[in-house]
Amino acid sequence: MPIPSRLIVYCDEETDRSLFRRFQSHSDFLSTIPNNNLKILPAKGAIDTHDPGSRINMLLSDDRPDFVFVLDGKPILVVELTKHGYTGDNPLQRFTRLAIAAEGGCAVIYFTPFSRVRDDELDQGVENPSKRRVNTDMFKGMSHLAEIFKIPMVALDWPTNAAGLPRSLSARLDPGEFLKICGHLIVAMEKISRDLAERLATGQSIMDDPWVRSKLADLQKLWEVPNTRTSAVKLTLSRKELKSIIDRPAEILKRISKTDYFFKDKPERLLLLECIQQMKIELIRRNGSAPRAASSELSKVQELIDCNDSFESAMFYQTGYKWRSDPHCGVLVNIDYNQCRKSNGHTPRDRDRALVLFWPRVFLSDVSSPYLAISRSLAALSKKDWGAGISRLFVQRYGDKPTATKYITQLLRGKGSLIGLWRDTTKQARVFRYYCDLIILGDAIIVGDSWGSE
Amino acid sequence: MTAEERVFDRLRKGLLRSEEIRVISLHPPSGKSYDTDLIRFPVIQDGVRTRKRAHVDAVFVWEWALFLVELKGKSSESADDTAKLRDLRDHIGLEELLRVIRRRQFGDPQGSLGKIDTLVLGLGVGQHDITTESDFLVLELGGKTTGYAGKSVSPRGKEFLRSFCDEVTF
Repeated sequence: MPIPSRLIVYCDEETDRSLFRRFQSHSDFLSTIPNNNLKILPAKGAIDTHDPGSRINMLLSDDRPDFVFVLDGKPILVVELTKHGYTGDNPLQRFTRLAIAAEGGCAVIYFTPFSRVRDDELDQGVENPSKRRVNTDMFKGMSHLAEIFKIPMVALDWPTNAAGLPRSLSARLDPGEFLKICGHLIVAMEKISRDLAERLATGQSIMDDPWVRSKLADLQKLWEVPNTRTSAVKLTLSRKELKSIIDRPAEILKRISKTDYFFKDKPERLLLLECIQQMKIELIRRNGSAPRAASSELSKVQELIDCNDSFESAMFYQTGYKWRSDPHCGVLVNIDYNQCRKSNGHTPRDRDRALVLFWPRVFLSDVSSPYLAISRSLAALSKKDWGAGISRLFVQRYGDKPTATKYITQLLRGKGSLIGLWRDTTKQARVFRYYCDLIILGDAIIVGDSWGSE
Repeated sequence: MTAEERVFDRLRKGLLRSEEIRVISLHPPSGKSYDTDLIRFPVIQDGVRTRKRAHVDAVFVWEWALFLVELKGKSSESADDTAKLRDLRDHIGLEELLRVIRRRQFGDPQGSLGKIDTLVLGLGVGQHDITTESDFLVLELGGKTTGYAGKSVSPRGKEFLRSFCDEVTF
């Protein structure tokens, strides 16, 4: 049977299916994919593949790429279209999606404006807003995924208009204009699904293909000149430093200082600082089992750090976010592939460097002493109790009580809970448990799943 | 497909079909749009303009009138939407709304925004089940499209309904 009849294209939404039909009208090959083979991704469910427990179905349990091409029951290509390409952490939120696709043996096409103006600057009426390049860590991570999994990772530019915004694919565009915007995307989808699909579906290498090689060379050019600054929250820690932080979490303040980090940017950073100051590891949890008292289990964590080479020089990522999934899941997975897999390990257990997440605003237990202490701090803040430690931090940072009050109000007005409780049933829990060696919460350590019950 | 998605789909098709309508922004319930840029307007809370921004479901121009339309399954569910659009009219105003649009429309290449002198507020619904608000027009997008207009809707708003809808009831 010819390839088009064997290809199923799963589309995120009806909007995507309509767009795919427009792609088809410009491609001799894509147009031969039968209409019945264009399906909408099931809601929160697996797609019909030969391997229901595959990484790609894991991806779909939490996430919805725009298009997934499946040949003979084997996912071969994930296509992601996004207008949001900025500096900073935001573009990295899609990195988890690309990583899981690559781990599942899927090629990836990422179609995004390589540089564009920011929405907030346009909203604020900033004069002559300048274009910002996508965080180059995104493209660097894609190159590493290609190298590790021997999978094509293709980045394509979504052209922008004179205002610096990605051009819309309006149904009223004439065919010539439509092709100017996304002709190269159509060619890439055609190339992979027509010429490389059989080899991708049967697990053969396609890295010798000249087109693939040229796309990987293009990708490399996108990150050779990095646009990222040194991060205050991504650190390399020796064994000794890591163990010391586990013993006394506030030791991290020797590496991340008030002046360089906590007294800058949003007032939420003061809450983060208060959480760190109140942190104490009271519980240890492994492999999804019930938490145990740190007094009896901590020595095993210390042993794990002592006995495994990957902890010789661990990557440590402090996230200041509250309980949420994006963008820090993507940031962490990006750190993994850019910093921790020099020997091209395929799984977290094969890493050269351990990966540790430090998440002080999230707790494992709502009766732990750090959780109760922070709850009291927040209550004191809402009552403007100026004797409380956290209130004093606001005065120290903002200079006087009236200004501190303004920022306290801003903090307390925010949406959702300011601190969170860990829940295994969420995307962030699944991603962090899979990719991290250790997750250090406000009151507990969760040992990454790759360590099993050792 | 939810009732709101069906309403969006019908309105989208209708707006894109007409050459007389310049579609500025279409914000589907899912938030994903390939058709247009997604314009964001300031959010008003308790009568005060905030730094937050929000989308309006459909923004378009017809005959030098700017239309802001919010979508819902039933008009009885749309109290928040009518309040939101009134806030934009009363606290932001037509000139400022046009300035926000112009910033994203690279200087208005079609030159049509400068001539706009009327702002029309509207709802797009699957079922119009309450009395029409006096300052709103309503597009009931079922098997056919029925237009309703409140007493104080501008003549151009009513003209639009006559040109766009299968039938009007005012």
